[in-house]
Amino acid sequence: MQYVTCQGVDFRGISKMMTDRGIEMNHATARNILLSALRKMAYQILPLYNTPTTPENLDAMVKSQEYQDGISDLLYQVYQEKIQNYAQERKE
Amino acid sequence: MSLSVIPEESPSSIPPIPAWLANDETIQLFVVYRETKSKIIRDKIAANNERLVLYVMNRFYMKNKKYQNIKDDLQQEGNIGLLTAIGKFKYEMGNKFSTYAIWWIRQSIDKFLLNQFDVIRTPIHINLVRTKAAKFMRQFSVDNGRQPTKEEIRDFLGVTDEIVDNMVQSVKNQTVTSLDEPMPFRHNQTDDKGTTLHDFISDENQTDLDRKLFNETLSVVIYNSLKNLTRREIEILFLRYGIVDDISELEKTPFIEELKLKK
Repeated sequence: MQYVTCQGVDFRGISKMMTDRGIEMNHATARNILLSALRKMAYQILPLYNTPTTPENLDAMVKSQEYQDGISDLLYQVYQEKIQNYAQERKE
Repeated sequence: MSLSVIPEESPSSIPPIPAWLANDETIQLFVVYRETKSKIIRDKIAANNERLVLYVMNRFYMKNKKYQNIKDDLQQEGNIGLLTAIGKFKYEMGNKFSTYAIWWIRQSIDKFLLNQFDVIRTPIHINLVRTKAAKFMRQFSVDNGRQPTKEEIRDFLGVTDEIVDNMVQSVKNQTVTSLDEPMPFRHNQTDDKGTTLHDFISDENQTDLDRKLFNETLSVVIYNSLKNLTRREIEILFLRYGIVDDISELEKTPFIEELKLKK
């Protein structure tokens, strides 16, 4: 499995943060939760490319480095837009 | 082609043929030509060496695709160079004619290309300076690990600032082309529909609407897909991809509440 090298927190760091907040988990659980989230998103995205949402396709997509990279960029874009909207609303 | 470059000589002053060229048919013709200055002999020598021009063209120019469309012009220029070589050849120097003629043929073709091939004509002396400067710049960067400055180029070439500026400008001009130039396709054939370079230039101010629409759609789909995730999944996703550095950062905004996430 290939993971996108990013500037985010590593799985051990995530599991520590969660455990500190009272949600006990180890690094492997953090990774499984991330993959589960990516799989759920892939289920919504595959139809856009006229690709059937078979388990094989979902597996291939979740494991794809390009997909993880793309999701990372899009999530950042969506989040920043929302943050700007909130700031705009607060001003008004 | 004028043959006035050859001085008038009396038959007695015709130099002897070097021994190793004694059986060369072309040299025999040159002896006669030196005596008579006959155009018929000159044309015969030219006809005998016509294939030399083709050899030079194929050897030095035809590998470049942009010259293939002007093959006839190059051949004509090569023939002019051949006539110059016939006028100037001195067999008493002991060289074969072909050895001597190749340089004149190349010179003639090069001169033609420098003078007429560019869209904007550059003077030959600027072209020569440019070639010299290019060699210097290449050697300088190998020796010093950096490109020479304008002053260093000027000092090396011993020319004025104006000529260096002109040279730089002429390098830029080399890329000039016409918008109405027909686009070449396979085997240098042009398209019957009259496709020109103009048809391939995109409007940089025009946004790609399809792409923009697709990206917007994708953003909406991503946002909606977040609604199917649990709060924990969102947090881990955002932490892992560095969108937030800490969970508390995410809690400061109504982002998660807006998604109405499942606990």
